[in-house]
Amino acid sequence: MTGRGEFMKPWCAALVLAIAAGAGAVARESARQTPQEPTIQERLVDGKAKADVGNFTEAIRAFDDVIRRVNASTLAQAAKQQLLVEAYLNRGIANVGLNEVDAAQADFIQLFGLNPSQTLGTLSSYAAGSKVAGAFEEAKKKVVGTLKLTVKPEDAEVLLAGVRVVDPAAPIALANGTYTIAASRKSFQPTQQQVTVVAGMLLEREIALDRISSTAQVVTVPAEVEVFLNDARKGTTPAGPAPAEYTASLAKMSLRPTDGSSRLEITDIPAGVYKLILKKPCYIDKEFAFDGTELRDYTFSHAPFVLEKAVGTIRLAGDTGSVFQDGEAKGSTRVLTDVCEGARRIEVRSPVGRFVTNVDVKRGGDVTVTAAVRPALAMLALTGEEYRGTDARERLAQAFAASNLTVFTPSPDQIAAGMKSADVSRGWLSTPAAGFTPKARHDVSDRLAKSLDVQAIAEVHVKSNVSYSDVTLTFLARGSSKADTLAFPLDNTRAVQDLVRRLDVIPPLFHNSAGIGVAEVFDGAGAMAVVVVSVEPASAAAQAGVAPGDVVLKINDQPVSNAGGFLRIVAAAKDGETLAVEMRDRSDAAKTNKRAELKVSTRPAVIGQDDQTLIANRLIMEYRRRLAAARTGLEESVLHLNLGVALMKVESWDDAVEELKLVNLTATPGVSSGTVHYLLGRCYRRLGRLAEESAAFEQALRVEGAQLVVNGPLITELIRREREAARGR
Amino acid sequence: MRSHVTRRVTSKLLILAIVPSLMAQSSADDQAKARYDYARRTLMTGNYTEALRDLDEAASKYTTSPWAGEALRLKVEYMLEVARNFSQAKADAERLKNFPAVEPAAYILAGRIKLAEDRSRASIESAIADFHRAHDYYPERTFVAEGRYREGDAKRLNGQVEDAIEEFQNLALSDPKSIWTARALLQLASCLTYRNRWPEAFSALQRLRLDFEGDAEAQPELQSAINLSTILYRLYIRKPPEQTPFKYSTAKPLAPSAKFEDVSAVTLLPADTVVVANKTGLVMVDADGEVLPGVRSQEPSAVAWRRPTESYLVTFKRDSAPVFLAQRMLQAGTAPGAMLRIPEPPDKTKFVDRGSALLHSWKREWLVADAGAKTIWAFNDTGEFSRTFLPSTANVSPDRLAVNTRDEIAVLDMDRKTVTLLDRDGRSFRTIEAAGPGHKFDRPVDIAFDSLGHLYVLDRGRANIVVFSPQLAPLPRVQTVFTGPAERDPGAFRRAVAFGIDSRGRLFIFDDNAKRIQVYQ
Repeated sequence: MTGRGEFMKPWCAALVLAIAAGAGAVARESARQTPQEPTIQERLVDGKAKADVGNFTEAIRAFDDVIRRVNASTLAQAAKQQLLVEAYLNRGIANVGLNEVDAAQADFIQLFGLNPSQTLGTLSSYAAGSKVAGAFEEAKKKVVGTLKLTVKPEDAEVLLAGVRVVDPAAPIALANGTYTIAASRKSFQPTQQQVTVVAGMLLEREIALDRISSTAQVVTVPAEVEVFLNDARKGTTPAGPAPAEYTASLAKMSLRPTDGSSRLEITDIPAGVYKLILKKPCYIDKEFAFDGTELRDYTFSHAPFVLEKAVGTIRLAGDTGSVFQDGEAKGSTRVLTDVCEGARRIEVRSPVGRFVTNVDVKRGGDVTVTAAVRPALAMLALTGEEYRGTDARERLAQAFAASNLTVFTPSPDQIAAGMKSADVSRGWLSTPAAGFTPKARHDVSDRLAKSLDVQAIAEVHVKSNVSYSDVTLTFLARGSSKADTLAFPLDNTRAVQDLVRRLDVIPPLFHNSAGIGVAEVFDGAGAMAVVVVSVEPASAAAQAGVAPGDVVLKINDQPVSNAGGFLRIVAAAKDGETLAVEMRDRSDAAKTNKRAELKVSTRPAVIGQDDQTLIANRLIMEYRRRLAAARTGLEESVLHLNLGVALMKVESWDDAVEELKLVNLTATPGVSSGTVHYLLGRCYRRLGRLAEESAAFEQALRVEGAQLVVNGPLITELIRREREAARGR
Repeated sequence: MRSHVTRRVTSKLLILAIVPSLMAQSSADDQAKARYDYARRTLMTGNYTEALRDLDEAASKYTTSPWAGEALRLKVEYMLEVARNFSQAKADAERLKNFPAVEPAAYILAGRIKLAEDRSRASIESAIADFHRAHDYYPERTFVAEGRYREGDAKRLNGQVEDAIEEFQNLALSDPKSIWTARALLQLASCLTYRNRWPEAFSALQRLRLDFEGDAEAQPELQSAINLSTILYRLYIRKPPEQTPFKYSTAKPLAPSAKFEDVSAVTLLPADTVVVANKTGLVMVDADGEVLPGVRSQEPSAVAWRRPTESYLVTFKRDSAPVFLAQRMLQAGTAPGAMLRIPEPPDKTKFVDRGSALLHSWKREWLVADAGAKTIWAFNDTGEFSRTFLPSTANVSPDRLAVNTRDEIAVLDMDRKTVTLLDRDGRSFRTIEAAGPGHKFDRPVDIAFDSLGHLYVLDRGRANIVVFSPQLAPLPRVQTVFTGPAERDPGAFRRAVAFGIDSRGRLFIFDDNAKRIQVYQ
């Protein structure tokens, strides 16, 4: 029985399963027997044992019993069939043993009715030529025929009586009868026909399918390439490795099978000429002419389509920090290689801000981007009325695109995670009723800003559901205890531009002095003149004989028409620079103008704690950014001073003290160490540290001429007033 | 399902309800604004009755509109500044507190009404409290700067100069770009000068010049700053020992073509128009020296202006009755007027005896110096007698009057060669005697205050000007003598009669011998 075909494989597998299932079923059936009565299986084994010792009569009796009990049982059909096949096979053999050949053939015919492809199997004693084999084959000839199919194309799928034929080319044993054969294959017209199998006969049939379209196999390097025929997307090449037939062509290109994709089969391609287009982000698109006028299966010689990378290089200059390319962390690298062609979003994040830019990467290009880190403000929540326009945050982010702030909305996940980490909910910042204490705001802003890796967090509140005419932006710098709230009509471009400009205004950290104070007056002829009203003792101006009352005529050979013009030239000079000034002497008796060299000195400036026009949270962000890049000790000191005052403005008193303690200024008139001591005293008072307040004020009083701000009130005067007020209380 | 449908229906109804409500609101706003706008325009034309009708309607009919508050606010301004109907102004200001958007303005107006009505210490302190409320109770509103400015100014008027300085400084620190800060810096300079802290005054003025450079709204303040700087420069800086603070301006003598005779008074209007009273009426010369159309009047002996924004002048016939209160004198022509009568007990009236000087007080009274009766009479705006401001018992012959920005009135008694200083209620608080440390009057003929409160005394006998600080200490370095070898030498005068000071401190001195008015700067 070497002719066992593929057709039999599922049958046999089913049989094995059936036997296994049958065994279980028989066991269950047996459980219903009386304890003394053997099970069907036991009877079967018993019969075989009797036959083995030549007691065929008893064996036949046992098999009869099995057949009777199986037929009467409620066992599953497959289990029944298996048991019956066993019983008929063995009863047939036993009948041969009793020389009852007709009865044996009758058993084998019963057997073939159940399983046309049944063989004698491993029963070697029943080898060809034996009586058993003779009776078995005789019976087979009476009930089993053979079907031999020739299928074109060979890989078409064939169904016989609805069951898939694994190897249609192999002969198939079938019991007498009529069967339906169906064949199908992609790009071919499916077909079906009926065949009648006659016992003992070989039936040969050819099934030829008609091709109606082409197929094409596409393998790419790399995988996951989008494939188009003309404009129609046909799919994406699956992950590799590439099929074996591509190995050789891959090897020629020094590629491994794992470099390639699995096969993408494009089917149902009507006859025609096509463009085969391959696309993958970060690779150069490829396009091939594909002549598909002949209907067939195209394999392209089992050569993969290889796409070339489309990448460039981005170099980073300027500020340093953590680098992100399209949101993906790249470490602190300064060179990004293999950057995909196209618009790439490059971010540099540092503790004081972030730099975000879109770079258009060209294939093979090498772009240098100078990162200028700007403080980042993350707009978390949108509160208030629901207005169905573009998200207000999005509009604000666009408006701030050209400003010195990076204003953006984090992803919803980031916002949710940040809010969760800070244990706050939407509206906590913009809703006064949320009732957060300054300390809570300080802590929450600190946690949120750190969580989102930004310098300030904000909420946007929309007051109307019909327009953006009344929108507020409430924001807190990291560690700020008091928010700044800016109200503006978001639908008014000019107002928004003003807002953006306003947020970019940072007061100067230094001011220049040429050693003289000037004022505009009407001179004797009624014309406006710039006159000297004060001269700093021991200054270059004093040493040059400049005196109050002198009229400034020129500075650096430029006529002086107003004090603003004079001061602008002084302001533009560098520390230590000399300015040549021509003056008319205050004395009417003087016949000639006098000339003097004025030396410019750069002095600290500080913002006013009470200046309501300043946006303290914005300043905090900016001062921190500048501190990271401060070049001199003086610059650092002045930044700490201004940052300290900005923190005082937002009532972060402890933080303000820390900043002010880092200031190192000399004890001179103007903004100086006296200013710092006074400000420290104010902080101490708010913190209830009265002894330290008193000590700080005492130190401040020792600095003669110290001022609160440039040209502002004298510190001594302020302390005097405060002490008088305290006595009054 | 039913509840879902109900919700949908309810939400539709809500939408339907909201839309008309929004439309109604919008319509109310439009209506109120239309009335407000029209009233504003009508007020400008002087048609007050119609304007008030619209303002009242806007304020009472569309109470939910923000324009209702604005309308009422405008009405209070009118009642305060034009109608001088303080009781109505007060009532409306009180109503204004019901409009949240302008609530702080109600306090500011309440304070202003108090200052306009009564400048007693209690009244000023009450006004200070109102101004304080305006900026302290509503720190986020737009009226903070105005509240602080007015609080500082009220303190200045109350003599709390140090407190005023602090207030102005605080405003300058807290809101450096507000127009009220520009105004505060001017007042700060004035207060600092008063406290003899003129270097700081310079700084304040210069800060104004720089911080508001190019600010169109602040142009008047910028101009004032340079004017005040000029005064400070002249009085405190410029003069080295060997030269005078004033120089005769050869470039611009006042109207050289005009002949000035029998000049009785020289006064400057706020825009620096010089008004000269002579026997035929008033001659007016603008700031550029151009002679303007004059006003005919019979021998006016004094001239004064009522309000910087109003075209009113007052004059009266010299040395004879009746005395006229002439109005709208800036329009050329003969001035109509009201005769000034004073009570003559028991039940008669008579004309003012000899009007020698005139000024308009903070209380909008005309103070008429009657040298003959040694009395200063007070008349209301329409010329009706209101009270005796300085009785004859004070024993001062009021030949000339001058008033400063603290409402203090200087009275020159030519015979006694003294200058008596009266407070705003007419109480004498200081007398500058004929001679004292740093000065000696020979024949003082006229007095004037400059914008910073310096008192100038024109002494014909010594041909000089004596300048006193705002606290009435003589500034010894500016005892200027104006003499020359010849009577008509440039800068010289022999028989000075009257003078005036403009906003930048220039002196306009009339010399009866040379029949000319010379400008000293």
